[in-house]
Amino acid sequence: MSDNREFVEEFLVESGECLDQLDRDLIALEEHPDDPQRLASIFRTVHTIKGNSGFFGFSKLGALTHSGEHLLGKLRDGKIRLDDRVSGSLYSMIDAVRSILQAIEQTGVEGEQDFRELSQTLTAVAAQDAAEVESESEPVVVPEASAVTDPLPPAATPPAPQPSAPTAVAPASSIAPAVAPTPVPTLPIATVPKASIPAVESPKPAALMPSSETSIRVDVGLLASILDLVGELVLARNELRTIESTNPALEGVIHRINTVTNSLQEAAVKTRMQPIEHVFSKFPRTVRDLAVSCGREVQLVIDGADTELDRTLIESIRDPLTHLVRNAVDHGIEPPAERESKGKPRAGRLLLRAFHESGQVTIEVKDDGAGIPVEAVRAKAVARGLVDADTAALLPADRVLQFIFEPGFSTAAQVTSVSGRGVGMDVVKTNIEAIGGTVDIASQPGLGTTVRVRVPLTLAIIPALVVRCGSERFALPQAAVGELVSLRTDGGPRIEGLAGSAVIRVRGRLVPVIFLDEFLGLRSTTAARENGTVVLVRVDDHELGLVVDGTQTGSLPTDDASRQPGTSVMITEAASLSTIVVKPIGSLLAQLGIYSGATVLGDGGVVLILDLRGILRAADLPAIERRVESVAEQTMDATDSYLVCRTVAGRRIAVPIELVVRLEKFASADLQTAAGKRLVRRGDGYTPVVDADSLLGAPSAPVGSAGDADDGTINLVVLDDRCGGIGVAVRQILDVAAAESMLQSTLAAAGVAGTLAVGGLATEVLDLTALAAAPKTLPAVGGSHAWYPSADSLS
Amino acid sequence: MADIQRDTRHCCFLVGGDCFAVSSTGVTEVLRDGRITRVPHAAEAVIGLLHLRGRIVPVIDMRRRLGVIGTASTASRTHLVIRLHDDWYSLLVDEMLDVIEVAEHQIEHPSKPSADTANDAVTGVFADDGRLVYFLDPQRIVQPLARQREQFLQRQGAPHGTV
Repeated sequence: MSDNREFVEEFLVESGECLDQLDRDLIALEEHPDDPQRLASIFRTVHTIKGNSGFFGFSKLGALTHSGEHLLGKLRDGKIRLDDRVSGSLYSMIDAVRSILQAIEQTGVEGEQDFRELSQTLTAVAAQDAAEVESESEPVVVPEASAVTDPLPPAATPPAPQPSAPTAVAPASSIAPAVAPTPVPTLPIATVPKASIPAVESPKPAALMPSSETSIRVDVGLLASILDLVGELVLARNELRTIESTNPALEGVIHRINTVTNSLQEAAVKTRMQPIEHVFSKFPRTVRDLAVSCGREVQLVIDGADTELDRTLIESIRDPLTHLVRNAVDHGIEPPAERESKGKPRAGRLLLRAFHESGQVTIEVKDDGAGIPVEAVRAKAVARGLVDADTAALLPADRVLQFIFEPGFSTAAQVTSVSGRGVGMDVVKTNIEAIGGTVDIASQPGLGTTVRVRVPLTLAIIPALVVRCGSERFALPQAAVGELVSLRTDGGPRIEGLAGSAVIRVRGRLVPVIFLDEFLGLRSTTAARENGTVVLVRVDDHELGLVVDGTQTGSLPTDDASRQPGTSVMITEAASLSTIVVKPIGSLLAQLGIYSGATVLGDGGVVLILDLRGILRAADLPAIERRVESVAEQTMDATDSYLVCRTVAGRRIAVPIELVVRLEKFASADLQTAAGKRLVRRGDGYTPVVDADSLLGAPSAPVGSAGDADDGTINLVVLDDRCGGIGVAVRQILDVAAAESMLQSTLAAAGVAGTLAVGGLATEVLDLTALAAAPKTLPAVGGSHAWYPSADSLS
Repeated sequence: MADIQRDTRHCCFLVGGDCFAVSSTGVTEVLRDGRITRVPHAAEAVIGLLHLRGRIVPVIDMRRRLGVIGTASTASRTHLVIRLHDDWYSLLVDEMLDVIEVAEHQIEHPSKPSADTANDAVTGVFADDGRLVYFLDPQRIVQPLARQREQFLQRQGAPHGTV
């Protein structure tokens, strides 16, 4: 056996494909039992396996497929009809063949399993029904195998040495005269010339047929080494490009090599790609079996099976997708009776769709079933302590659905249905995220559920951000990088300490940060702490800032506007990304769990790729988040930002910046009075104006002079609707700054909520509760965290 | 391991004045220099990564691995690149010596494996022409270096990012 190992392997691969084809055909045949083309295709496929097994001396396989072929022959001749018993026994045969092939693949021999019983069942199924028909069927099977009554040995002997399609079709034509009196559907098989059969079939097999002529099987290892070599070539090309030359001939050559290398790399990467068909092709069978066992009727629609993605990823999405499909059939689609009572068609529709979208592959698993009961999930989430009841009540439906991805939630969420399985949606999510993908779920009660899986096209070549940290460089997968924030010592974004952890404030959010140098045990540089860059990354549901010295392109440019003291200007720009080839670093270093690989940059330097998920775990980020959150809630008023102004009377006041909609400046002459209120026209409406001093209980200044600055203009701080959309007139806007102390409400006075330190000076915080049109909607100044975290309202 | 012992040819090299040898079976190449990229948090003996024609190879400093006091200048040292299952490693040695042929029966094996972590990779000794050659098992060279994850996680136990 060992000398023809190569042929056996080819036989295994081919037969595996045959079986997938069989599954598909058989399902199609169940839908259209009278489709002669399908039946012919099934017959041919089984015959091919039988012929091949005879050639290699796999007697069990031969016997089994022989029995199957015999049954199919009866079926084709119209001697028996396709019912559940027939299709069931044929499915069992396919499974048995699969298990034998598996045994051959692993051990080289057929294994100890005994399939005689199954063979006999197949024969019995064929014989019983055939007995009802006239005995003229006998000559039909004769040319194929004379020993119908003895199913075991015949195929082991080599009477069918040509396993190719021609022999498969030959019996069909020889049968033709014999079956002439039987029902019409079988006739076309006999009359249609062999070559045209695939063409009449569904597009899929038709596409597979000619591919055997334009494609060959290539060892995966060989392809991998070609990719490696191309990677090397790219590096050499990069070095070549750095050579300064005045020689035009050399320039031309370099340019050509550049172009060719690019094309070569593209082509080489394509060799890694495979159509998602390889995963999808299993599903018709899976769905059929599931539908039978769950008592459902399911119509599976597959779209975009030709969508290509990396071979290695195809394997990784197989299990998660299978789980989603199972879920859809088991929990999504209702039993036929229930569907009818709801006015839906008996058969549920399950759509599997794959397509390319913005450099990723999106796969949708969509059913038109009952949908996920949001309220049940909400209740379960509360019961499991994932969220408190008050918060849960406020969560929108799509947020509630996210709880399904919580570990261990799956069984609890199976409010819809019956069976419990080991794997939950959390595993689906984990597996998809492990390959850099995402999972979204959307569900409409009564209408169905859609799960959208997005995975990268490939893991081998990814866009990455290269950062500097001390003397080292590291690469971060771009998919996880949200934005870059430049640190500034002069009042710009900076790292703050909170609850013993470092955090950075980004548009009102507190994001924990990790100093990469410290985390990696590199010599720490104060430079990074003060002038470095914070790379905000998002992993799973966590946000994390990584403090590094800078990015590969050097520190981010700073313009004058952003240097203005007191304004926290976030510099978000597209730093230059490199496309890097991910290389394994070996088990020794991979098990550290903080590097996902390494790459070689254009300059030949090796750079480690950070495994952000691993870093998050190692740094125990969730614990930091919890700590920060709890402290942030207590001290929010002391750490929040305030707009600092000077009133006309010269008092220094602060307004929570949350409440400020915008700042305006206009001539005091524009101030109007109506119904005893001072107003200023703004677009189509009027903004009521209140003098800051009058809020503080000072004598009201004469109308028109309030907020009157020296140059005859008024500075207006326009507050949001919670404060009645009112404008507070002040003499001067001083600063936007974070509070440096807790609000001291003991120092409250008329119109003053309390005093705190801003910019090193004691500052009175304006009590705006009095301004509220509906006081209940106005959070008390200095209250808890009422205006956190919706801090992005300030524009 | 059986294969390694059946092969009689061994590559000899110097580390800290002593002569060591590994079976030539797994040796893929020997090279003089190479830029090494540091890997933070790796085991102490794993001093970094080497780029070897498209392959990224961890470099094991044999001086550190074998507990030799003092460091030789890295510049003059040699990478002995070995292959172990699917992983490649570079053993950074002081100097490559000759390739010797030693039959299995000529090697003296210690009665029990050394408990000393520095010498735990030594599988046998051979007296060759007035010098002692210590045979190393590549698998055992690498294995202890993989126990770093627990230690690493322990180190990370302290709160991070404290200002």
